[in-house]
Amino acid sequence: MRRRRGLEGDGAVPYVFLAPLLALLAAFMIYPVAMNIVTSFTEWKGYGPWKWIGLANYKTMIGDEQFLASILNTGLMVLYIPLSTIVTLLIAAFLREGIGGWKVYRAILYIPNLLGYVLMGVIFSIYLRDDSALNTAIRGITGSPIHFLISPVLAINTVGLLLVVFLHLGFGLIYFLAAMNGIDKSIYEAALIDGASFWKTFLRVTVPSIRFAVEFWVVFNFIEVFARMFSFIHTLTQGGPGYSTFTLEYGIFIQAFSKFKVGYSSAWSVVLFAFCAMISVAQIRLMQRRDE
Amino acid sequence: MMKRAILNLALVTVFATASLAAQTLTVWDFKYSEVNATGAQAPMKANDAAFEKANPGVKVVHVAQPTVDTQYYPIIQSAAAVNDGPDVAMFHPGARVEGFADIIVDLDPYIKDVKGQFTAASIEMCSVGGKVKVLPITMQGFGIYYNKALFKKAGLDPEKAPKSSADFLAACEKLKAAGIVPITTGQTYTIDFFLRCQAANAYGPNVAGLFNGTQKFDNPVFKESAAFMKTLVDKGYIEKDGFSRPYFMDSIDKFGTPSGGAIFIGLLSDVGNWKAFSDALGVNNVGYFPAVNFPDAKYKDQQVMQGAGIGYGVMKWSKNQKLAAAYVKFVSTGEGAKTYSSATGSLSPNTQAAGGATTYPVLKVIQNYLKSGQKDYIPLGYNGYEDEANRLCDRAFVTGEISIDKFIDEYQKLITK
Amino acid sequence: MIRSKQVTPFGPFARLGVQAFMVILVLASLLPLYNVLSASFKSIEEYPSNPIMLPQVPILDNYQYAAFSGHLLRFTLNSLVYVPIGVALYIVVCVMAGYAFGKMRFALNKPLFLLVLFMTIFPQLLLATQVSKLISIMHLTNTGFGVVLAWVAYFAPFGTYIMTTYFADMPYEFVEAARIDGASPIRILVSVMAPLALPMVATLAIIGFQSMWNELPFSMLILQNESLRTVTLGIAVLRGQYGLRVPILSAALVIAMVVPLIIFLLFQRYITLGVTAGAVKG
Repeated sequence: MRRRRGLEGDGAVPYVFLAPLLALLAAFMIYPVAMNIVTSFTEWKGYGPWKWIGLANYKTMIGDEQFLASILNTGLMVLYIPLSTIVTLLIAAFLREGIGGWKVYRAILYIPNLLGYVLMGVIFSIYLRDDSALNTAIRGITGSPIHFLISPVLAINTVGLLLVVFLHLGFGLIYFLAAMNGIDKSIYEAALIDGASFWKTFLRVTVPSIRFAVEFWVVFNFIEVFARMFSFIHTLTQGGPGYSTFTLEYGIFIQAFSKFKVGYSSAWSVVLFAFCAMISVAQIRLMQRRDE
Repeated sequence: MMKRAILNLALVTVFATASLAAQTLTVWDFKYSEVNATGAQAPMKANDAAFEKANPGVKVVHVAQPTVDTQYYPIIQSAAAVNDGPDVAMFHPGARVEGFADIIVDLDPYIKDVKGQFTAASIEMCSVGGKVKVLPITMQGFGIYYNKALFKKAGLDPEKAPKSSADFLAACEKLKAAGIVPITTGQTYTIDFFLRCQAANAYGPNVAGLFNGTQKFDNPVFKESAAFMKTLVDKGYIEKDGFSRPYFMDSIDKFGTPSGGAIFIGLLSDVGNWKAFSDALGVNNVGYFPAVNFPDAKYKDQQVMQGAGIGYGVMKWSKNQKLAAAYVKFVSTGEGAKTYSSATGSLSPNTQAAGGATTYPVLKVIQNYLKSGQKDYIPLGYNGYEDEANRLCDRAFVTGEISIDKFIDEYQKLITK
Repeated sequence: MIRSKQVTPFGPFARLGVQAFMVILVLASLLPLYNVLSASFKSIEEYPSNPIMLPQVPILDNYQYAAFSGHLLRFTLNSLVYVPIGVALYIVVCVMAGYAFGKMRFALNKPLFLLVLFMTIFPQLLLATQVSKLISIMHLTNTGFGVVLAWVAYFAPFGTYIMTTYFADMPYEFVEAARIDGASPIRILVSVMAPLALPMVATLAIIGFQSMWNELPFSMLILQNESLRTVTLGIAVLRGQYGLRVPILSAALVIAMVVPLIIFLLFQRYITLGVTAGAVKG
């Protein structure tokens, strides 16, 4: 992203080019976020007049079991990010070694990304039930099904494993393979001549060479966990059982669209916004660092 | 002269039709997407056509909206935000109507002639602050259905409903021993509906007291009912697999198959009701009782009943409020009400529309219990109350995260939340 | 991306182990899909007793029900109208903005670009209430254009970022040459720079297509009438609907998969580029 400086400016033309984008963003991004901050200090049903209640929503939120549960659940998802990074990197490295059929593997593993969270959520909601095909098979072997969706511990971990590790695998493979492709092949040849093992090459050559890609991957996963998983939760578990897969996004949804406490929901939104702002800043820094 | 008169008449007719044709009545409906055999769409279509015929020039645009609360009510909310939307909308009387009362027209001026046809309980549920907001097309309730053929197979007397807690447990044990699933279960609602059934026995005519502080959930019978549910789960009488299966319609379907399970906590109207089960299992194979009786309970055999299950209201932004009210009246009274309830097997809250359906023995049993209909507490709550209550049920009975005492405690706290 | 096979530290056993591992992973991804496909041909009576195996008597009734009574066909057609329009607008907005950020000089270039970057990750639920209200005020509720507008706005920051990096990496000489010829800025963009950026525009189109095709929250709030639903929204709504059993839902899922799979088969190369466009260079 090199940009030349020091030449004469382009006058008003750039602003004309930017006008559609800026108008859309002002209306659909900046205004909603600003309004969220305003309504977080009110009691409001989403229509009609609102009532100022100061910090009351925030006070309620801090003592709200559901809020704490959703923070905790989001935290648990974050714990899957290292696993996702390691697994994806390793498989990419395997494929990089020219394993036969790697293109087919890469394509098939990409299918979940292709179909998206809504379809995958519905598919897994059928597939992981206690009386599903999978559990019928498991019951045949072990005598009892695995309660993927109705045990609180399993439910959140199932979501974590599926969403953070499994569903992105295909995406990550393409991504890391492209990054690894940029590594000078002679380094690998030299390592091989030195008799370095796969693991040693992986740790000493591959990972350090694609450091930026790995960092982007981590940031990407943070974004998925905080800002993109609503559709999957909504179609797979609806935040349940109880509150065991409730997340900030899902809480915002329930408060605003089931209980119609839009003011209170906005307070949750402000918290989510704060998290996202931090992730966003991290991402921007990363981009700037790479471009230098 | 004659020509002129004819011309005039023709002109008048043309203009009259033109002005009438401009009248479009939009109806939002979360039941309209049911296209299966006993689904709601067929009778609704018939009613719309009859209404159009009775009101020349009027066109009814019936819009199928999402069935799920968290998808349907946000759409109402977003219509309210701009004060523009359908003329008529379907609502669940109780918390939902109360939550949206400020955007629903008072129907009283329009329904003086028919108000008396509706049961007092239904009018009460459909009113907010003494004003009627919606007219109901169903009466709803929950109860315990059992499959007589499977009872026979397990060596139980199919004509003797296991109403007492001891009989109920004994029946479950015998069914289990015979290799029959004692209680077919579905996600969330099996437990929810059971507790609502039991509240009728626990509080009798005082259910509403839960919301003014005169009654509490730590009432011994209610607490016993919760503990009883836990026993059913622990002893494996409740089909645990069912907790991850959608109640609507997978679990309902399962009970509707001959070997799907012996006992089911089902509904009185809409779907999963006496008609659907009788049609699926045979009219003589379906037994019913309203709740489990505990020996020390003051009230027994009480039937939980929502005077009104679903109904239509006229929206404040409608420019055709009078016509909209006429539509609401049309589908909730007379032939309109009969058409809907006979096609779907719903119980009508309109006393003049009570259908025959005498070929269903189980309906007679139900009607007998309905005489003692007690209120359902969930609709007395607030927007989103049921979601909270159900999540708590999951935590106590499905995941086992919290004890029964803690459950009762938290369940009580939800009332005032 | 192919690497010479002789350059590998794996022995035959390690190679076999890795192959086995990959096969397991691939099976794990395909089994849920097989399950959906096989269930979609089973009768409602057969499915509960035979969830695993292939259907004993394959039937097409579920497809007929899902496509017509469940309106999946209609929903697919809706998506096939909204999404391409959305992608076209998205391309116009992102290419113009990307060019301005990447190749033009103006005082607010950096702060505005940072603002756009900042907005690439906003969760939709953060915006949903206000966006649906805004769409209502504009009288665009229940219109394809309403949802298209919301999509373009929501997905544009990322698209702009991609186009910006692409344009920024292009030699400035192209612009200068055109300028000397006296071409107007719009002309430079339309006849010189945009054609040069075509491969990236194709990638952008794929990214936009995938994002919009799979979008849920905005379409849920904006498209309220059943006849207007997108295929993704249709699936999400069907799941909760009374009267939809697993075999029918499965048939609906299979129908919903058709278009994405075709797109994948036709444009796999651009999808690969799209994944890497965000962060990896070269």
